[in-house]
Amino acid sequence: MAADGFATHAPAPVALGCAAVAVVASAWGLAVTGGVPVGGLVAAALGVALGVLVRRVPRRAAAVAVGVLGAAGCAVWAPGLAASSGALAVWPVLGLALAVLQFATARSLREVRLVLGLSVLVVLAAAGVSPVAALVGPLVLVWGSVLAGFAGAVPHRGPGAGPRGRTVRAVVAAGTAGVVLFLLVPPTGGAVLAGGALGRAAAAGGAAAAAPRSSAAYAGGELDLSSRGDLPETELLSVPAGSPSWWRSGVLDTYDGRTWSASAATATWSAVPEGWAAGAEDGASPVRRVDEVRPLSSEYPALVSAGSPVGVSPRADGTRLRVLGTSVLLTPPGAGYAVTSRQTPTVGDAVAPGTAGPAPADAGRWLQVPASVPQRVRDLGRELADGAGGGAAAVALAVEEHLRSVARYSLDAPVPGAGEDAVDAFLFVDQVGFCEQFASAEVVLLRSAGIPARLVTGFAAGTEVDGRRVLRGVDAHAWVEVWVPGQGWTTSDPTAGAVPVAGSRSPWWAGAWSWAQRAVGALLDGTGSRVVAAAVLAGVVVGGWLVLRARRGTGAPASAAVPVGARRRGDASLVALLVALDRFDAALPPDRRRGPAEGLSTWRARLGAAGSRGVPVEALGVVERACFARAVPARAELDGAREALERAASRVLGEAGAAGPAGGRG
Amino acid sequence: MDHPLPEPSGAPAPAPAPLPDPTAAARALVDGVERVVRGRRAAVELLVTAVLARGHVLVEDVPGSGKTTLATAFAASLGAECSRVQATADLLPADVTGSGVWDPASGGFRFVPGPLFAPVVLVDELNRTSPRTQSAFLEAMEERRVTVDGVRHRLPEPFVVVATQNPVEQHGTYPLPEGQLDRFAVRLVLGPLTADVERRVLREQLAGNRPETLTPVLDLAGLLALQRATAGVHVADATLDLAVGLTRATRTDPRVRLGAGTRAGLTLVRCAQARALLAGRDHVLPEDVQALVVPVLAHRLLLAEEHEPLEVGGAGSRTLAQERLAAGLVPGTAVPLHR
Repeated sequence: MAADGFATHAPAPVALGCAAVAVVASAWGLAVTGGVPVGGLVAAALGVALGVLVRRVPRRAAAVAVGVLGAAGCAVWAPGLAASSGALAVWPVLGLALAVLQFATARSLREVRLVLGLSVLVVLAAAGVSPVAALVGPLVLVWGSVLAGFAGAVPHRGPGAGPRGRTVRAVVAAGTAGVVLFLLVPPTGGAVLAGGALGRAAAAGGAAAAAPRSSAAYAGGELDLSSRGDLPETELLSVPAGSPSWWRSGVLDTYDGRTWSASAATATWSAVPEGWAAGAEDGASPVRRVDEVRPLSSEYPALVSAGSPVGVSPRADGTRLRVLGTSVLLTPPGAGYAVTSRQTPTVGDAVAPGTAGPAPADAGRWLQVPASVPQRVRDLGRELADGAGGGAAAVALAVEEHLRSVARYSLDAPVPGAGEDAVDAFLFVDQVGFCEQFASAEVVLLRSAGIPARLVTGFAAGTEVDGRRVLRGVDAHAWVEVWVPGQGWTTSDPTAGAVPVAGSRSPWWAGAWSWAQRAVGALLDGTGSRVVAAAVLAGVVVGGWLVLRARRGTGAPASAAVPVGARRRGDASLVALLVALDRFDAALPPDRRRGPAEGLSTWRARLGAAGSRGVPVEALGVVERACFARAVPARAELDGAREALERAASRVLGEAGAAGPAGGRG
Repeated sequence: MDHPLPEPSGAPAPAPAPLPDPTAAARALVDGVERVVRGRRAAVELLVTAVLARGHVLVEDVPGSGKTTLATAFAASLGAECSRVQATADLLPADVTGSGVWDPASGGFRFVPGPLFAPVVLVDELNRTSPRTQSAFLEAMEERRVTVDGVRHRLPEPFVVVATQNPVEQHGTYPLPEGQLDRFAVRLVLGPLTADVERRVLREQLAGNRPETLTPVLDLAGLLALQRATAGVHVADATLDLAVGLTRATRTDPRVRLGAGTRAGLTLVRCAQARALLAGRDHVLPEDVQALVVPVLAHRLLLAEEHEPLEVGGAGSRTLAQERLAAGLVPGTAVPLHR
């Protein structure tokens, strides 16, 4: 005889539904591997559907017949499959056939669980035959429905507190041991965690990891479009309050699909009595201004200027000047200086035409576009230029407008996958980016349209403090300078006015995730930190265990309001029904109450024999079936019985209340 | 070595077709037996209950109370061959199981099956035979096979042993050991008949209403299907809890030296399944379990010395004490209500 405790339980509808979903999803999984003809799958689905329909019919033979038909439908295609995909590919089909047959004939929980297990085997086999990415959907569906189905296939009380506690302890111990082992055993080559699971890098094979961002990246030299993360709030510089919004430190001309760099300096510096001076850059505006800059921290060594710098006067002796690409470093850092700049006009502003020519001197340098930039980006640039009509300024404004309309702003944009062009990914795939991606996109689009443009890094905005403007790490910025014939280089900032993703900042979970990834990466990089982390983890777990063990003795007993048996099952209606039964029982006079060893039928018969009026006979029958029958009565029936019991209890109490005073008067 | 015998009842029966209405079939069996065994409805129902639960039955009563009639009427209602063993002190195991006989034609020993190879075996006065022969029954009842000369022979399916024992006579008897008692699913105590029923029995017997005249209401395949249907009766967790509680109560009771084992609990639940089937239910109720405590558990209780009845009362009073004790367990064991 069957030893399974659930062998005779009726399958719950939820378990049956989950089994149907699992079988169909496993068939779908087989389908996406491409190894199975559609006809076989249609037969399988038909078998399942007919099985669901026929289940209503009490004749078992009909169910068996339908299941056999469905199974045969699955198996008929097996030879063809063996011919095309090899003999091994047959067995998931046979497994599916078995699952369909089993589903059509399943009459008990045990058989339903067999169906669930078979569908898992089928998708696993499908994954083995042809591991394609499209299997993810069916796999998730099968696993989800199997888990839910198993949960629904065991409608009786779950494991008691003892087994549950043992399970938790075992899982925690095994998990801790596994993580500690992972931390202590050094990885054998290769990155431990490649890319972020949220970023597309992981999905695309995980080559590009997000480097942490720092404000120094905006000091010129080079700008990596793969860096992510928040900038520090550190106060770096203090500039005059009325100075222009954009303070630039470097000019970048060369784009390689992922990073920006400078191919040559923009000016030549020479020592003069008050410091250093440089010739005016080609296309610099004639408007000059002098600003006093005071570093507030030694973290930012680069010279910043409110436009194109032409002179600098250090405020401390012994300061030296070093040119690095297009940026200028003052060493030692931390000394103040006065910087003379040719002010850069903003694109679109009504400015008197200057003396600049129709094109910059070294036009090829400012029109560089790498071959890796896809054609659709170049086409987009030309389209925007055509749409804007003539004039570099108009085109720049059109490009700005386009970027603001298609893309949103976020500091934690997805990192492009290996081999992908950062601008293309920003424009056509993710459409989420931050200042350097907006600016890069504008430069590439403008250059595609034949308009000279360049990427400028530095600071924008800032905070007014005591009549000066303080530039912090978070104010680091990248924008665009575009050549407008007659005016020369003019500022264009596509980021200003862009719509941020979900409010003013990137979503907290994305930030937290990227922070966690960076933290875990940093932790795993050091041998010492790994050992420390392992020790801390083990210590926390052991400490928690000790604390729990110490507290166990003082735990208060659970509330006794709900019957013990009912609490074991999470069905609210059943619990409420048993509570109502207890209340009805308690309302009765003592000699009518249910004895502890009295079954419900016996009790009902006794109440009926005693001539009690209004005994909720039907409700007691429902309770009995709820406790002992093969299937739980329907929820409506449970609720109806509960209400009947409650009515009966209040009637008994009412009669007792009416009889009490009357007896007293008599 | 396993030797399925072609005779007497053929190879192991193929899986029988499910009965359209098992309850009606089981009730028909009860009614059929009752046509001869008058006034013992409860006993007949218990007998059928035990058989549906694939158990064996021990009938204990004084001679002439209709024990044998009960067994033969049951066999006749099945249309089955009923072999009968009169257990005496000189009965040998080979007399029961069968033995190898020299066959001059083949030049070897040929196994001649004994009376055990029948679907229904009636053993009269089981406690009169020696422990050695009793243990031959032991293997047959539990494992449904016998070993003769080192060769195992499978017994027919179904296989029911109905044994009787006389509680009065003490001389020359070998009380059944606990292990043997445990193999009987239920112990029936028939008890006296009322005067008018007894008169009716006499009248009918005089008129020739013998068990042999009964027409079968069920065949052996039908009985197998009934046993199968019985095993499919639903047992809720709460019911199991009650059965476990009752079985364990026999072990913790101070008046009991040796309580009922786990097999007793299993038998209790199986018999409750059969009782539920007879009542037309597809699930077991606590009342089913409670009603079977005395017939299923009482004979397995070994009473403590001081509660053991005096020798004068003999086995009869011991039975009474056991039944009283078992019945007392029922009100003391709570019926849990939960899913």
